[in-house]
Amino acid sequence: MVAASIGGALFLLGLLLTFRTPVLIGRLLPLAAMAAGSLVLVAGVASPERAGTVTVMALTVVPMLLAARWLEVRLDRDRDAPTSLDEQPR
Amino acid sequence: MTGATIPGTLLFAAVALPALGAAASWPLRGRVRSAVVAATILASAAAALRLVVTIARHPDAATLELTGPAGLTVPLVADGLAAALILLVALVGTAVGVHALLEDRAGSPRRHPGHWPLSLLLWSGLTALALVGDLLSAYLLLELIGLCGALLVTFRGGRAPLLAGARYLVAELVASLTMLFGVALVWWQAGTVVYSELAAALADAPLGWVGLAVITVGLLVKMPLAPLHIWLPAAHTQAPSAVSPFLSGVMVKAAVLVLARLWFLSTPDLLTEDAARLLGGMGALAVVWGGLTALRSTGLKRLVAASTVSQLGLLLLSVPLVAAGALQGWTGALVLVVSHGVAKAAMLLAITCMAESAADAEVVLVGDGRPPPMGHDPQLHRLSGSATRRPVALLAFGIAALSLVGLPPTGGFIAKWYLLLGAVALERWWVVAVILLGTLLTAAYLTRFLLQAFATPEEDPPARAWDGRDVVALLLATSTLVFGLLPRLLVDLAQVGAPVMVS
Repeated sequence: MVAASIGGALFLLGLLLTFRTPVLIGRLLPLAAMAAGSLVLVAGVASPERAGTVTVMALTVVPMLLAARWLEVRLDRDRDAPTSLDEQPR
Repeated sequence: MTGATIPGTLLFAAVALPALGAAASWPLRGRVRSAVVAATILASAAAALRLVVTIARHPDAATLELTGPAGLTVPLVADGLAAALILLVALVGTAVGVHALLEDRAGSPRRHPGHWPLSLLLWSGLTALALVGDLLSAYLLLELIGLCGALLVTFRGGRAPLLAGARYLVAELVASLTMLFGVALVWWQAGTVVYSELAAALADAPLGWVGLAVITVGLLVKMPLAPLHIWLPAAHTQAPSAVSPFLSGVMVKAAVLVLARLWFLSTPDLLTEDAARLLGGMGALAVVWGGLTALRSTGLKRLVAASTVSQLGLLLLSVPLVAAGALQGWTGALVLVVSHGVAKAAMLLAITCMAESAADAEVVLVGDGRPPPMGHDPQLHRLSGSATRRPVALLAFGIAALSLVGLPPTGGFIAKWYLLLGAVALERWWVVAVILLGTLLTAAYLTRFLLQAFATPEEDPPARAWDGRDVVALLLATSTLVFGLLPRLLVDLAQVGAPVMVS
């Protein structure tokens, strides 16, 4: 039950992010959250005895999502700077 | 810890010491932080080397079980494969760490406060990954390692490293999710994720094989293998000088270790000849792709990043050899893991020193992004006179280059020799041809750089200079000579828990 709830929450988070992060990794982040959420949902419903571990596995995506969002915010901050990967680092 | 033939405290120390150092260095600043980091590096390296020696003295792989709170158990495997990665992490981690501490002492621009905690956490995560004996722990540790690596890339400051880190993170995320689905599928079919139990559990489970294939795809993105490597050149080029050597030399081996453990040490019967040939073919493509890209690269770090893609392909070339029962392929691959990692890291440390003395250090390292016509490089000419300016660093580069090309007396030569022995024994002539082609390409792109370094500069050469960092690069490069002159060190290590293939 707990696992299914976490899975559902992750899925909703992904859905929400779809509308909130239009740039850079915004296309992939929601997909990641939704995929992890779906996995936990299925595990939580179909195989409750393994749901706990699957939840832990899926939740490891969250730090990745947070780090990606942090990078996105930092990139947005100097949007006017050149975007090429070949520019000279400061 | 139960069933231990290797002291549990030693395993714990090898993993926990760098993690403790990471936690301790987080709130500290200035000289106190440097002292704590230096002590952590020395203690962690000593524990790691002691563990490697202990594993090498065992005739077979040691399996252990770590019992945690709430009855949670984590299986551990201490074999030659684990020892090879632990040795590589310790050698490169120590050299890169000391190099960075000397850079700080010389008054280089302020290092990002997150650098040391994340670097030491990376050390701990890689050591733990080498030892864990189940897919779930491996997945969790790969997540930690990928996250640390991507964030470290951004610490150089500026927009380009941020973009490179973001690309890296997205690639990691895609790879992780792919692997996650694969692990879930395997678990559903087998009811276990412990490596040693997978073969029996998956024998009559067709979907389990699909799960293993999905995990493999995720690992190939994490490696990364050409053409899935689009994130690698930017990340390795834009990373700070104290991070690139770890990325290029060590981190790319993390996924290789899981791949080897999965296919050769846990489910060898499930690896069909066609699948092995497919992986070998992808390796061959990477060898040629990486070599040709390196030939056309502007900037030294770009050149080295492309070279990493090529060398990873060489590692995969061992798959069809090991799958067909040639143990020489396994030995060659393990020696290559260590010797390539050490040589690549030494090379990157050396070029940091050389670029410092060049006309425009950033352009020399990163390039200007314009691919030059074949045979002409508008940027490398800035390195003219490096032989006079930074002779010690150039010597380190030269020794590392010898190992990458595979010339005696280096570890790289021993690795290629064993791979060739395996290929010739099995009459896999296409593998022989790819290894030789890769060797020629490596020699070509490294010679291109060395010729420039020995060229006479147009202006008067500045005074000869070298410092402790040049010596650190040289010492690390020298270890490839040790592996070449005393080949039994790594060859014997590779036999501990080597796979037994049914062919």
